[in-house]
Amino acid sequence: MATYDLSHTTIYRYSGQISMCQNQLRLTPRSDTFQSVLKHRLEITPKPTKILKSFDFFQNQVSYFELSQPHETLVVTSLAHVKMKRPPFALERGPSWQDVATQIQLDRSRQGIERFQYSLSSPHVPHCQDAHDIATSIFAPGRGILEASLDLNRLIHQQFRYDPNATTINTPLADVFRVRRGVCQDLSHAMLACFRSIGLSARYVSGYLRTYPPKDPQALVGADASHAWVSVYAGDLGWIDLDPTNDLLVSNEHITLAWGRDFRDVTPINGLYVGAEQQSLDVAVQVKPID
Amino acid sequence: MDIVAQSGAKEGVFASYRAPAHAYDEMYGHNPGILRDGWSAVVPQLDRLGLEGIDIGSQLVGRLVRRSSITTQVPGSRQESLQRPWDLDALPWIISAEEWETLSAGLRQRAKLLNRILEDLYGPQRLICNGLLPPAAIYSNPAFARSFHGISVPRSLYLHFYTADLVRDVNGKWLVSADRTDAPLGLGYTLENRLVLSRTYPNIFHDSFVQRLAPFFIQLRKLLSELSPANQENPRVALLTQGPGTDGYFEDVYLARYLGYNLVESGDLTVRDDRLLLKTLGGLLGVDVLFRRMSDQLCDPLELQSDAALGIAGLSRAARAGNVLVVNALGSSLVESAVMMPFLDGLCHELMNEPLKIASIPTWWCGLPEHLDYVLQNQSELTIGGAFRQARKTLMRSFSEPLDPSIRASILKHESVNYIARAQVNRSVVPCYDQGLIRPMHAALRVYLVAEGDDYRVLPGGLARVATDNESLEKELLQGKNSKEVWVLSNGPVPPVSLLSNVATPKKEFGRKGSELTSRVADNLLWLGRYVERVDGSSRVLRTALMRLARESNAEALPEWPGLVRQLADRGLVEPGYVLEGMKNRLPRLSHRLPTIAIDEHQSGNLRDSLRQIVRIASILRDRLSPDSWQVLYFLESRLFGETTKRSREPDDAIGILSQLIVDLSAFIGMTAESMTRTIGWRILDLGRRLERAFSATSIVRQLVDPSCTDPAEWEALVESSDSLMTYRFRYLASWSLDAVLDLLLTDKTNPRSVAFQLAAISEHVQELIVASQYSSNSPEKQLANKMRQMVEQIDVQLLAEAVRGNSANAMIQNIDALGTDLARLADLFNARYVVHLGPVRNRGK
Repeated sequence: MATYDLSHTTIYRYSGQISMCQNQLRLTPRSDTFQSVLKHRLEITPKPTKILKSFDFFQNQVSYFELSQPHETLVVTSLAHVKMKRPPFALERGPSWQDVATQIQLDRSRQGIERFQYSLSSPHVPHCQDAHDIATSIFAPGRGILEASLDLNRLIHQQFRYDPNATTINTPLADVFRVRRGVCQDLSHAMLACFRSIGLSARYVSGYLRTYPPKDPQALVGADASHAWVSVYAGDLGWIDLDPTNDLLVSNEHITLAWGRDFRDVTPINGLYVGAEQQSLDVAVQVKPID
Repeated sequence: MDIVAQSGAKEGVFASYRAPAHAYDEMYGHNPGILRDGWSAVVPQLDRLGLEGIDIGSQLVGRLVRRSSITTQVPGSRQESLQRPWDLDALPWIISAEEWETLSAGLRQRAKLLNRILEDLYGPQRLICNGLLPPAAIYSNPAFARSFHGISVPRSLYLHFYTADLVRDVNGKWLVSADRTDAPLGLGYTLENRLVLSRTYPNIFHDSFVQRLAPFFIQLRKLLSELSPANQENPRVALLTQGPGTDGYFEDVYLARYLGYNLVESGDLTVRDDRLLLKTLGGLLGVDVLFRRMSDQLCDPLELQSDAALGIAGLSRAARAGNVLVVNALGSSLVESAVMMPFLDGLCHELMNEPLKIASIPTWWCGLPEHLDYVLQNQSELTIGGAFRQARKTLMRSFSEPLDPSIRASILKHESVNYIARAQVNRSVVPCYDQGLIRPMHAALRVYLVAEGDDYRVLPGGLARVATDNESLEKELLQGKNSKEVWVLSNGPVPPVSLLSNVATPKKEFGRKGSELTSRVADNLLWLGRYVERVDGSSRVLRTALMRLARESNAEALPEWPGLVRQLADRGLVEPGYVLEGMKNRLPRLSHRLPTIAIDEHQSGNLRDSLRQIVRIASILRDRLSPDSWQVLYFLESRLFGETTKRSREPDDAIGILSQLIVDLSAFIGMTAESMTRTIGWRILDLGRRLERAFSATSIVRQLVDPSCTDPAEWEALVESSDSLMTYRFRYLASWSLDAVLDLLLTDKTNPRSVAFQLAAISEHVQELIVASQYSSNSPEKQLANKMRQMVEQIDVQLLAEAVRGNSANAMIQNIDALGTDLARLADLFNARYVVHLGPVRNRGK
């Protein structure tokens, strides 16, 4: 059971003065059965007078602050200690995916509705014929959901090349399917579209990966910034997290920050500012085990 | 149209009117010649007018519309210039008291129902758990505002307003074609239509006992006061418009004025510490109620749709904290989606324990498998459209292009939740006046309700639109074609009511100071002043030059000509090359080009550009200017240049246009002097004029003190350009001396064209602005204004004139050059002080 010391720094540099900004942060890791946040702190420069906390619709913690003193640089650092408790996973087929899909479509309990929403298209994950074709090629009638989901995870990993220059935040999903390239965000969106096209519930998870020294063979793709992966609902097995960027079943080296329908629901920092035209951005993430 | 005689009058103005078969006739019943209730009270009076009388009425309607400058945006355009007059039919649509009563009961029920549905969906969502609403109908809807789930609103009231679009089918049954719970258009136009038609037929209007609209607006004001989180006595209400060039702008301006609310655009507001604030010259002022006239999905770029150009970042937070009442509540657009329609009857039984009183047009949601089957089998008889409405977009937009049925079927299957289909309804017809004839036209009716206690009050009337075909009425946009007034009758005389008589609380003192002027309006007023003065100044110099061209065969040989050209170049009216010895011979002869500079839009001249700026700003400032002064400005360009396609090369024609322009601008300035209260707004407008005139006067003085300017003919031309020739001749007759000229144009504080006069006025304005906006009295702009004023006051014109003659005036020339720089700095300081926080808002994510 590892405990991590996490630091995530974002630096905005502007081409001139910013007279005011308003920001929404989703930078507090979630506390749940698989991880506990032992402590968490935000360091913001210039220092805002208040940081207001609340929870969003998906129960992610949101921190809001505004700055009205002029500034040319904004630094947001999130510091946390997170203890991981994900139990080792006994691999099995899982229930038939069709049974799970039927349950999702029919369950009208509060929890059922909560789950159901992740089976629908969302702004960044619209219906995509390519996704449907991929999903039906893997999810044959009667297959176990876990077995098939792991196959899908591998297929996305194999067919989509990790390429930080191929896409931007605004690249439509249909284009990602066409070029078959992208970053963790695109691969996750592609996988979400596949699950949802056959009526399964899947959500977008943002988080971090454990940092290894450079060139360490254990280092995973996406560890130098915040990462993203997919969580699929597998009936009695609950939510299963899969990382298509690394072809992995999520383990205790993935720290969950927030989840939602797609990237837009969990943007780590979004905000508006008045002033300079140009903004440049630097991000640094470190996740080190505490002995 | 398939015209089959259904019924009709044997004589009178409606003798030739025949309703088509298969459409309900609003005027005649099934029995030949028998008028329906209500119409019988009005038709005899129209008969007495005769067709000729109605034709005169129709012309009067057109004149009233133009006189009130009622305009509408040309669809698909966002340019302020693409507006056209509103179109109103000369005949009212009559609805009897009894009929209206029944309809109202149904509408009130529907408003209450939709409000309760919202209460549930933003709360426990029992309707979904109970299986009455499929979760995909809500969770797929982009209008479902997740950040408002679990937040209660005052009195559980989401819908302060409810609007419905109605049709009447062939059996005379009213059906709702669309529920409007977001920020529907048309309320302002409804008022304007009433104003125009009641003035057109004052006697018929009076004798028909038409129910009044004012009580609706009285209730609206009362409701917003009651629900205001603070200052219930006199809340600050801001009416949020999407801005000039958008569909609703005309009526937003009108409504704000009628209701006495601040008209604001997104950029005028900001949120700090979860409070909504209005940016004014006097600083940031709290807003209690936001009456939004744009879609909730556009209202907060931080949490809702993220387009930074619209909306107020943090508005959702301020609303959730209960610090501002947003009307309708953010998230209300959820229930106006067509996807709700198939479920409303069931929901009504569940929530109200009664059947739905007014049905919707039969609607199928493809998200339900059995509905999808039906739609696929009956495609040809159905209209297919989007299930979810997004930010005022057209419902029937999708599939407006003919699609291959198999492609369509595939889209419907795979994205089934996103589509609905509905039955086509042949709408009822009403008699309309069309070029000397009375013809039946299909009609659509939009009605408005406002919350009152636990119930709703219906506006007796509404905005009707008519067309010869059903299809054009399916479009949502108010295209301004053929709107129609609706008269809901009463069974007895109607006492006159006025909104003003019910505004009990007098405006507080700050209302008089006008310090609530928003920074945006201040900026626009300043520039309006500057452009008006710039055009005036330019026109006068141009006219002075043209007059020499008109009377001299070789004007370019006149001694004053180079000086005039220098002034023209200084104002950007001719290329700078014309004042450079080496250059001017290579350019086309100026005497040939000058007459067209004013009128030819393809030539460089800045005059036409400035005029367009005036028209643009006037359209933005419509709510700040009196209707008369607005009209003078708004039609300035089109009046002067509208019909002159002829490219006259004659100086006299150009002189005529310029003289008219000068007169028009004087009319505007005179009207502002006579009708604008001397508040900050007036001061800023005048500051703009004085700044611009100071620039212009300084430029002329600078030329007078130049060693090259020695010929009295040039002095005279410059005095003439400054509109001071009459004064000079009156004082000095025909004797020309430089010290007298300099006195008149530089130091004479009694001459409204002199530099000294401008600087004195600027000093006063700057001082008063600082006082009104409560800034520190020792401000840099005040110091600068005083410094300039004192410098000019200390000038001895006789010494100056001698120095110029002796070619030893360099120090003074430097002072005058510095004056130009200082004026520019003063304009910058004003900007920095009052306007700077208007910078564009940018989104991190983009």
